[in-house]
Amino acid sequence: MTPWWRARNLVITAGCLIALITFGARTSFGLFTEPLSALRAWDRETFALAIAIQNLLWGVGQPFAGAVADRFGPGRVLAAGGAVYALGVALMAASTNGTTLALTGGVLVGLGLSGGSFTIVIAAFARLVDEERRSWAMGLATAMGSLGQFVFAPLGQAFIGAYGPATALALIGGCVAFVPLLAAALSGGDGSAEAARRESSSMAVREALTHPSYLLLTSGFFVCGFHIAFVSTHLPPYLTDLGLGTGVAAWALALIGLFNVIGAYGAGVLGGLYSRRLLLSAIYASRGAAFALFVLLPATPATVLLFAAAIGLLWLSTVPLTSGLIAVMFGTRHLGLLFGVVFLSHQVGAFVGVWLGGAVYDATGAYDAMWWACIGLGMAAAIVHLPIDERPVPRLATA
Amino acid sequence: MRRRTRELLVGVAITLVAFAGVYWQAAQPGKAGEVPRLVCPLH
Repeated sequence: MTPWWRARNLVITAGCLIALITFGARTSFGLFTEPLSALRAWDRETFALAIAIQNLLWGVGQPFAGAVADRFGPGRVLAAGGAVYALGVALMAASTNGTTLALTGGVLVGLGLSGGSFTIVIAAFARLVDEERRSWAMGLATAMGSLGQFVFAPLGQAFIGAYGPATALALIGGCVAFVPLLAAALSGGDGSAEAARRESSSMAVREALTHPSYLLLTSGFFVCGFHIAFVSTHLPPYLTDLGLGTGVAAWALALIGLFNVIGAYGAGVLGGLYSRRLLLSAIYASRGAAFALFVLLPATPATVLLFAAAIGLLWLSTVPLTSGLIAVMFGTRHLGLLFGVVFLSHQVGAFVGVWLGGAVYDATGAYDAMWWACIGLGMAAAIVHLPIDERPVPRLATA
Repeated sequence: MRRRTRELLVGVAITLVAFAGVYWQAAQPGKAGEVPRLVCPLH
């Protein structure tokens, strides 16, 4: 008999809460930049460097954390990652110089995120949730992660107002400390024949990297990162250049966040009903169309907000579909590792999107070339998803 | 309750929480500029 803490709904609730806490806590860091820098007499670069290190280690550490999760179980990795993450945030609050901030908020939180974030939750869902509800659960976890920003922003702001930034950050760390407890519900794996087989991690990566569909999926997720990071970083200054003001930019990004929750959840539901590759192709084509309309139509507050709503719907809706496709094609045994590799491609795309946006603007004095690059990449990603073979690899089909 | 109905209700519930979050952001005097830092959990 399944123990009560392994009940399906409890597993899904625990995974969603982990996604909400780990993403929410991280997005609240932006609230601490100014007050904590003022308290410790840091310049803006000190905080920015720590967050940059955090992002880098998160992306690079993800495939390794995924591999460990595949080997020893996602619950253990989530517990360890959550503990390191909580410790990092708590020590961040006590950091008094740039070096300790880089080690705590950068290294510890970055490594903690690798083990305690949504990719591992998705790997856990793939093992613990039945196939019929898997896509829905993956979409829900992605949406709950996005929702975390709306829960932790007021919480962080209230903590800062009541106790000051250092204590507030320690309290956020206290919230993250619940992750290891929640991870208990996601411990263990399935007892399927697939789990019983012992392909090594290197064999799994070799199989995936020689599979054309996996490479196409990885290239598509690069485009996702490129789009998202470019828009997040460069949309506000672009709108300011157009004379629309920071208020419109703030509303645009808030709408992206709102519609992202709807889009991620909806994609999870649709992924359980329709072809994931066709849905992904439609998402990337729609992104291209949204970028094209945004560039070609006159920029007014109305068109900006409509663009924000459209791009928000298409924002993280790629996550449950991409991870779901990997689970279908290669099984769940190495999902943590294989999705971690694809996620690394996303983070590289994000880096290129942010960096190239700045470089193009410095070189040309405008973002026009970048918007057209977004359109072109969106259409290219839509095309490369079409030939993806959604069937399980022969190894699984004959098992 | 049917599965599709449950899924719809969950979707409506999380959308309402997200909407409340956006409303809270908008209601913060002088805090609107912080919204851009909160938009994407991946970056």
